[in-house]
Amino acid sequence: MSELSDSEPGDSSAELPGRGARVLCGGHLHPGMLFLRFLDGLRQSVVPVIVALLIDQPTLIVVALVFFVLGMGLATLRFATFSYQLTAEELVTREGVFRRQERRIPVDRIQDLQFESSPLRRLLSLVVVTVETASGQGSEATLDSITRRDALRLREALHRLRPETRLAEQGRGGRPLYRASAGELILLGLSDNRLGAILLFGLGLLEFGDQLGLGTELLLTFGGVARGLAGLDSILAVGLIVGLGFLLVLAGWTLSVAGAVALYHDFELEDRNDVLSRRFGLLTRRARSLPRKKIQRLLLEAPPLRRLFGLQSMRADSAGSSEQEDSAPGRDVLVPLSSRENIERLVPWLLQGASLLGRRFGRVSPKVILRTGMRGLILALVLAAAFWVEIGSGVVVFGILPLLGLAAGLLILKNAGYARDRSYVYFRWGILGRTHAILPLKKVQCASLRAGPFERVAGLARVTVYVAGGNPTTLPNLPRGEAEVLVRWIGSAASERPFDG
Amino acid sequence: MSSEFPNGPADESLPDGSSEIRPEDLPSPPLPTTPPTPMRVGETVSTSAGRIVAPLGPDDERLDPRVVTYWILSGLISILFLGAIAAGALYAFREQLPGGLERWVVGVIVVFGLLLVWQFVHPPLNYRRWRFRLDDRLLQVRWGVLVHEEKAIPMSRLQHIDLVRGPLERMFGLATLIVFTAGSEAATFRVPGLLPEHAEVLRDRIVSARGADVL
Repeated sequence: MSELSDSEPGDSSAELPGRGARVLCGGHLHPGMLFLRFLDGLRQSVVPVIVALLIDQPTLIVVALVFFVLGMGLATLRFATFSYQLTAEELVTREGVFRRQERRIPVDRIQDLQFESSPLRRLLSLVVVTVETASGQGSEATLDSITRRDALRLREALHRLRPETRLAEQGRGGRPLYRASAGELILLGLSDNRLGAILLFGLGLLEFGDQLGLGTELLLTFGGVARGLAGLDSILAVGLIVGLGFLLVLAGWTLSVAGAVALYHDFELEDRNDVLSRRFGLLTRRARSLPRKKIQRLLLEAPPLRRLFGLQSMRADSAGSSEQEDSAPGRDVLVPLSSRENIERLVPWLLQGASLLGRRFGRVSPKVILRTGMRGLILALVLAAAFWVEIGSGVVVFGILPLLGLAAGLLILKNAGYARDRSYVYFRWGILGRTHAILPLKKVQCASLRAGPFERVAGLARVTVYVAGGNPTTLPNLPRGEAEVLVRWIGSAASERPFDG
Repeated sequence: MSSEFPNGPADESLPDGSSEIRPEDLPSPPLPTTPPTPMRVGETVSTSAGRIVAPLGPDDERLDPRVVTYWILSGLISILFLGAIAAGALYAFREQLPGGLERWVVGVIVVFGLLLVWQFVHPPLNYRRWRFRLDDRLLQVRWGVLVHEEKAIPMSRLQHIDLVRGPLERMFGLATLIVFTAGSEAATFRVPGLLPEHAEVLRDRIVSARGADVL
């Protein structure tokens, strides 16, 4: 990114942006951001303070206070020093006192100005403006927060300089590819695995209560409840317990459905001049763009439950995505959840010429069944030896493990495989669920083969393909000879395609 | 682009004003229905441009034989280091060891004995298996005794090349070539045990091949 520069100008008094360019639009952050930071700080101190009060550790309160004051200090500093200016050539942001930082983004590289606004910001009529460029690395600069009026003025000035961004802004000139329906988002929440997390949370609370010395009280309460239940008709008691369980499940489902809808409400995927643009969110509206050329790998994921109902999600890894995923929810998601047919129909619109429709996959070696069966057998023998003294002949139950291993092997054989065409390698794998990975040969950095001692005895090997984003893609249990040929094919096919981005 | 990819999506726009965009509304692209071709052992692979890549074989380049002694010596040094730590730990905890000191000493000696034997057996075998080849487009390596590994890296993906010479390597007159790609740490490529002059020749060859590819 040679056009961007983070510099530390020696004399801070230098008039920005220099070169005598006229400032079209500019300003500072709104003082409302201080209030927002203040609330943020309060929210972050709530848990430590409560914990401190519960376990009677006043030092924790002091620590929380220090962090709070520090955070506010930084926010004040940022508010006092941050400024932005738009000239005919550049958008310039600068901040900092001791270490002055200045960032210049050439206007003709700006892809999009995105406004994001949480409910609280909406109340203060503030927006967060993110500046996206064609680099595909997310936002280049963030203005957090300025008033909506200032933001609109900035956008208008940019539009006058670059009319084509106006088209992007209004969603014209783009080809709509996919829009999530309400039903799909509800299914996304329903098939989410958050229920387990909620149960764990409940257990954790119980454990916590126990540690605080509330254990006996809890036991008494439960005892009372149990006695009360015992006094009731047994059918009624069972009904009550089932009802309670049902309520818990319902609460979990409601929560995850609400979460899914809030995050992905009105999800739209569009292709604007080969840039995939997504907008989504109910309370906080998010926008992400990803140039099609930057896609390093496409992943189509169907975990067991979703696969049962023919549902999948799709995401794309871009360069450097593994490091950046943390702070941006839905950053790499292209389709939160849809039917398998829908998603497979979309694939050629994301990667030109790629398709899974009607594609036949070469299988992994049938020896995989032997391998997983052996693993089950070994595990069973170890467990049997370990529990022999305690449960005696009861260890027969471990006999189920080799059978499970064989079953898993059969499923892997059915699910795993690879395919290739002129421009792509396709891997797929899974036991109950299934994942497809589509890797453009243009993006392949390295192909490798690995065969450990046991794999060598069985004549198997695993093939791994590296691209510049996400984790490496690995397909184990291939016949050794086939794996060797595949690695050489991927390597030489990739070497015939010039690498870009 | 579209001429290069006859199977790409047709360049038609959607009818405007449809509120619900579903993938089924998109005109379906023609399917690539190339049947999967099974890959056979020893097959020379032809790709779309008709280029043929042969597997690494006995005729391909090996490392310098001196690398065996170098590997043995550097392995011995690390075993000595570990042995000193283990002996120190045994001495420090000699009172608290369950089951008597002798047993522990015997155990440690057995473990280190096995390590030592492996340290002498492994390098010659690894040397025998090590092969690499640089041609104008592809780098290939293979190595490993217990775990067999092979890597193929297209020249055009190389980011930069390092030539490293550690103190022990310098004593043996050897050098290691490290080749980096934009992929993760595991997508780097190390060729140890090269004569320095040879390593430099290889580096220049890689750089020039890369340059030709970029242009």
